[in-house]
Amino acid sequence: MAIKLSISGIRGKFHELSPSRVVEFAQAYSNYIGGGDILISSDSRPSGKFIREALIAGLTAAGSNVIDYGNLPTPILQWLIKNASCSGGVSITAGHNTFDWNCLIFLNAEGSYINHIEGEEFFNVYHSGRFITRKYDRIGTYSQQESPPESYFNALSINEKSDKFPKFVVDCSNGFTEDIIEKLSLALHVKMIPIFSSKTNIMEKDPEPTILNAQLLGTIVRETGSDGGFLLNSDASRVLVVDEYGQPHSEELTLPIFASIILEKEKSHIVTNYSTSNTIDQVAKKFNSRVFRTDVGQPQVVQSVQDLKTTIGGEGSGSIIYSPFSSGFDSFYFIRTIIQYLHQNKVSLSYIASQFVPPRIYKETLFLPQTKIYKILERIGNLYTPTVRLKDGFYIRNGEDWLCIRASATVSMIRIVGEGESISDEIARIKELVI
Amino acid sequence: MKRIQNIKIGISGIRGIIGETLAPEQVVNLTRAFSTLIGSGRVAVATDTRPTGQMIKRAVFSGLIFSEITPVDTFILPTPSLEIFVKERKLNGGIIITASHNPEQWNGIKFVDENGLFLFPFTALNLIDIYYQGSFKIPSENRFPDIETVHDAFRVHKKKIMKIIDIDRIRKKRFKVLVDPGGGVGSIYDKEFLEELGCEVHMINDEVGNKFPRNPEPTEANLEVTSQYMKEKNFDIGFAQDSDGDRLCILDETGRAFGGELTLAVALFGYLSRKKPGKIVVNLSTSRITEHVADRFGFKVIKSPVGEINVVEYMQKENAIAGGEGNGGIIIPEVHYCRDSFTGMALVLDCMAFYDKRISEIAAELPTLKMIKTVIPLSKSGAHKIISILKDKHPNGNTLDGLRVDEENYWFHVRSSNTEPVLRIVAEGKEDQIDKIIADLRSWIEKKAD
Repeated sequence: MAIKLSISGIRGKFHELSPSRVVEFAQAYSNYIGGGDILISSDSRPSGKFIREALIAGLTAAGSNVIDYGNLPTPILQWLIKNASCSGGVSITAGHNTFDWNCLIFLNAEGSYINHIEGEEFFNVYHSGRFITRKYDRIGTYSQQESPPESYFNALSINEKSDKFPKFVVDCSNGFTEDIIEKLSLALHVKMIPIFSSKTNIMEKDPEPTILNAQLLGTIVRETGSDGGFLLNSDASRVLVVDEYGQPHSEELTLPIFASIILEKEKSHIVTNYSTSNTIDQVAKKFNSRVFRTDVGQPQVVQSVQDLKTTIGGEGSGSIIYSPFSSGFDSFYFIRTIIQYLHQNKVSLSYIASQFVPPRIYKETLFLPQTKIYKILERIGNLYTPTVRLKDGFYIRNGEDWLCIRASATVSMIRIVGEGESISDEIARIKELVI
Repeated sequence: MKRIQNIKIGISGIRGIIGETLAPEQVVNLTRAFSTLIGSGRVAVATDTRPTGQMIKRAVFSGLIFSEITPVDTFILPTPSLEIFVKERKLNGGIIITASHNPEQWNGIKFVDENGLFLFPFTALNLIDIYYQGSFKIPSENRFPDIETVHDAFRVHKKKIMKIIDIDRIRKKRFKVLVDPGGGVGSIYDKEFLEELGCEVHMINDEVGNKFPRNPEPTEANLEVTSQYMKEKNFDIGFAQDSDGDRLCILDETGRAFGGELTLAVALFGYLSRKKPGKIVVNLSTSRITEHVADRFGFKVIKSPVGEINVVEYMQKENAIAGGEGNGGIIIPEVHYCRDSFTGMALVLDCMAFYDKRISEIAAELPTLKMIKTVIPLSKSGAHKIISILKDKHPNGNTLDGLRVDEENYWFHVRSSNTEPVLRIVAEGKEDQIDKIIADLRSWIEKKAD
């Protein structure tokens, strides 16, 4: 069994998430939340087809009513759940993982990822292996909803317009289709050119928003004379900005850009994880607010945003949450904020990006067998005195330089992220130890 | 402790109670076993009217898609229509989600091969082996098929039936028909079908919902209300079906429910009268009334073990032109090798039109015999022992499936049930004799079994 089970989702390659396993998780989830209405949607991954059917079978057998939003990115599903009276939701998407992966993301009644306490309770039900299915006249119903839903885009829409009609290229990373981008462009009064948005003719690509993966988008922005571009991962929870010259800006700048725009108008502290660049601390300092850091992952960051009642949260991997609007990371809200700012201030994306010094951040991954990961983490841990012990690794800080070493929640590997002059030497030291 | 008897995994698929013994896990894995057996291609999927069918269908779809087989959704459809659709559209198989004559708490799935036939026993055993071993096909590529949909699969079936009857002759009669589909698939298709034959159609028990309006098995006992309705109104004939439309029961204009045995005989009456003599196949528990009809038109009767697929297997082997079972299952290969209530209805109307007689008059031409169906609680091995002793006592009996003994005025068939720990006895004879014969047989068996 090579599936990964965490509150970030039940994740596996297309042949590992078998229909019976999906049915079991669905029944366990329905039992755990006690039935009611459950909203579901998926990205465009082919394996979503069998997962969706098994999910519906399991949820309805256990007595939950399934409301199916078809092919819809997670942030929109989360928003719908937050604004409906329902019990929860399930998004079928593997976000930034390559196309051969898929994942079931379980959402609570607020539309947020289940937190670690909910996760523990849910997995206890699952591991008990005993699921309650309902009698013939108590099984759940199934209905399909209009998708994409107008309500989300109405809520997202802005009044501001520009004299000239700005044009942007949006890379959907095969996660969702052009009808979403069409609705988004109408709501924001801009022209948008979607790429990697076909449902039928899928050209595989790495959906993780990184400068490397943004090269093609950059070229298209340049060639089409656009005002910029946005590279999203396949569930639209992460985003990276490309300026009007086609120049991609690190995903580490997504949160700082967003926070500085919001903080110009309102006061809030900021929640991010230990694996995020110091750039956000500079933004906080400028606006006289504080940065709170958490373990890595959407569930942890969003939970802290809710606990600390901050408006802004996000991660260095390119995600943001604006809590008055969303209950999870939402790239569309990021795009809305940027475009509204451009309409209002008549500036360019390159100008906005120039306000930030590109972070000197290093990201390394060490792919390892699942059975070795924690042993190796321990060995690495012996090299240092951690500043903070994370639930899945270590955070070491030395002046401005920092290093975050942790086991990935989604794939069998160790992620090393660090920032500062001394970090490349440290990474080399760790790699030597592992090899 | 109470025995669990409400789940059956056997050669005819799986059947159980929703929320107790039948859950989607079994369905996805059984579907994967079936998919492993057929390898690749397209598989038609249908349900009867049970609302739980939608949940089961999702599990079936998931199992098929994961096995890289394209599901073809034919929605709510009679079992015979699905079988015919698979064959005519050259699909690779079919899956029917139904618990047939069982009440609404039940559901199940049955598998159909590329010829539109239920799996033959050895193939079915192979399927069960794969299921228990869990050695299923794993997807090789990250490329899964979409679900195809077909909304008019019944038309393929209807077209085949219309070819074997004289439509104009029936239409001219403008029969007034009462139909009782019992809330099953007939609720959706009967009216259109019979109106095409020029009938004035009245429906009863045709509400589709969580509960069946009556017990879905179309037996005399379950049709009392329908029978009463026939008596009060003026109909030429009444028809009742089970939930998936394979079994039929006729009611005559006086409201008398024929039961499956007489229904089979009457349905074959007109059909055999117009065919060149040959062979027909019935199972060993079927009434002599059908043999009487066969004799009358010069047909030889071959007897098969009990079970639809056994009848079909013998029909193919013997090149029979008709066949059936005494539960109201009429099989006409010109349409398809399956039990089919729609073919049954068409043949009966055709027969009435051809002879220009009331349905009661046609039935009156057949002998009146009394049939007794009873069970004695007995383990499988106990039943086996009793049957061996009986076989010694009746060396000329038919031993194909238990023991069938034919005497001039009566016959009886004793066999061990496939589904319950009982010995089944079916017997038939003259009204005044048969009760005593069976009472004697019963007490003899009970004494031996002690």
